[in-house]
Amino acid sequence: MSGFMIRRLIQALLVLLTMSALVFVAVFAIGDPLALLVDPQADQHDIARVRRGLGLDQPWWVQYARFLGALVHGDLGRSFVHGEPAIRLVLERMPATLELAVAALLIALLVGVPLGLWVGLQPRSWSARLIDALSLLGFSLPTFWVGMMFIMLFGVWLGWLPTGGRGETTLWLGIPLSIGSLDGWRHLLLPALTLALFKCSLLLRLTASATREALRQDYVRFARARGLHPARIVFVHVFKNILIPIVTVSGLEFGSLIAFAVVTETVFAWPGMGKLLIEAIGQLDRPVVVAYLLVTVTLFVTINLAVDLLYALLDPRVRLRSRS
Amino acid sequence: MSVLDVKDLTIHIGDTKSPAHAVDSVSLHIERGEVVALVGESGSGKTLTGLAIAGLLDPPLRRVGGEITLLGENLSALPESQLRRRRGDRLAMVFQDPMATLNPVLRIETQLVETIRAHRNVGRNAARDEALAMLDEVGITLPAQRLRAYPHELSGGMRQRVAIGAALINRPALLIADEPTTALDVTLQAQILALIDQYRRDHGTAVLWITHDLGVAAGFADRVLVMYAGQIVESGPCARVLQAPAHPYTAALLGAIPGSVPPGTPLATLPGQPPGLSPPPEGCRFRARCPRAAAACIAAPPQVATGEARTVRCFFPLVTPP
Repeated sequence: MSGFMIRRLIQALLVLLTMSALVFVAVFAIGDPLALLVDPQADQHDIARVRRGLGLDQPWWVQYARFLGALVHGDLGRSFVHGEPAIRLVLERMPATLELAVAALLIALLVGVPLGLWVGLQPRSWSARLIDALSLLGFSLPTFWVGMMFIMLFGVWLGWLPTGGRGETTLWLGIPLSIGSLDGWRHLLLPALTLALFKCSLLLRLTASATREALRQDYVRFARARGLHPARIVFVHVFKNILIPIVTVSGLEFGSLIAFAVVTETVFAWPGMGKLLIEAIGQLDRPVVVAYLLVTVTLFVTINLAVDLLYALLDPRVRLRSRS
Repeated sequence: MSVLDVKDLTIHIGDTKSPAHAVDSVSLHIERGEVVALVGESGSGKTLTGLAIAGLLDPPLRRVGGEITLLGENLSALPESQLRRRRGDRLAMVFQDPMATLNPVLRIETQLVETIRAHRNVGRNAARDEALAMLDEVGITLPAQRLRAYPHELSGGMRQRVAIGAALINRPALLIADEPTTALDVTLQAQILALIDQYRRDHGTAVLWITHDLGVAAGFADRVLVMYAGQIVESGPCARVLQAPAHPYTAALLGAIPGSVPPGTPLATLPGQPPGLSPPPEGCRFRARCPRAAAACIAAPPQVATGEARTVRCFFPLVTPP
């Protein structure tokens, strides 16, 4: 078990290292941030001073080596634009993104799994056919378009819900969250729904097909032959089996929710990490871009690890052990 | 009174316009403590007959006729909610593949205890004790340890023992066994057969043993029913039928068993294939493959008694009626 964790940790560090090098080179290749940072009126002397100040006068490998050196001390550099530590900027925005992603995942699970179970159990009923067709729609509509339509419908025409920002936040363990107030809830609802729609359709279809598959298994027939109550067969025998793919996919999709939040956050002016990233890319603010990606990759790795551990908990056939 | 009495069971597959007549007017009865083997090749309808008796037919399978009476109660008239209370209680069924029969994510204990508690108002601890005793009875060593195990931690033979234990735990009057030894190697087959044989001697359980293996039927069953293309073509006491088959199909089956002919002689094979059943052919269904077929066989052959409690569905049986 501990051997498994150590191997995963080493893998994660390698991923982080490779990723940081790629991003470093990529942002370096895009363009010179000084062109955006410095007043166009500034003379050659001033520009050179700023360049030296930011360490941009060195070749990229020297810059990367310096970056790695600082990284060991937990320093990800300062934002070119804001002058603040890049990691602080990212972490400040992280709760907003995580809150949005968690809300979207919960909506997707609470709606998608029960409906998927229904579709899987009663594939012939008209309601199941309707749900199935709608899920296909939810599967194919692009997120940004759905977000804009929600804003049009609920924000502009009906005027029921606000269309931007986080609303009033309250502190929970020192972290500002929207779900603490009614106003925050109203702000969270539309972006969370937008972000959830695709994942909800995905989980619905996954649950439905897993249910249909499970119902064909011998163990379900044997459970029926033993005279178990239909509710027990569905909610214990079938559900415990389909939970395995549902948890796996939810975990993996949670990572992509954080990544896809970039679009939704932009549409709804949600002050999360994604919005920060878009701004930072626009300004070639390399430290912020690198810090964002390092944080996101760390989240991904952590989530995957959690999924693996959960998987072993759900499926007795899987036992995590290290082989020497 | 028979434990099980099936009259004219008929099963169709598919739509009502041109269904396949998978099982056609099958009648059988089993007495207390008796083992009846239902023998036939794949697609002969033997498994469907077993599923229908247990009330486990799902669309597109439909029971379109016949009456199933268990311990004097007409099961075919019961709604599913009532039928469920009989399954696993008065009648039980075990299946072919022990690897797939038990739920992989539930402990053995859970699966045994839930079977008890689905039918009887027994406390959790009492049910657990019963489950433990049952594992011991079906020959599981270290039953207390196995109770906590998951199915994948047991071997195939052990899993089949557990499945049989789960089926028998409410002491059913009838056990329907659908080829439960087919997926096991020969040694284990013999052990499972001995286990069920001992159990029915102890408890007087009636057993319907569904198999394609005449050899298994031979050493174990009291009576044998031979099915072909959805019909029972021959029935009678096991030893008599196997010694002197009356139906040409039974004779052909026996001729195809390795060891039935001297070494070096090729085994007999039947030309052709079983007929399609939507719709079934007119007259005798074995006609096209039968060495004794004649013009008369174009009409449906009657079920005739040939003495010694035997019947055969043939115009030209190999055993002449008395």
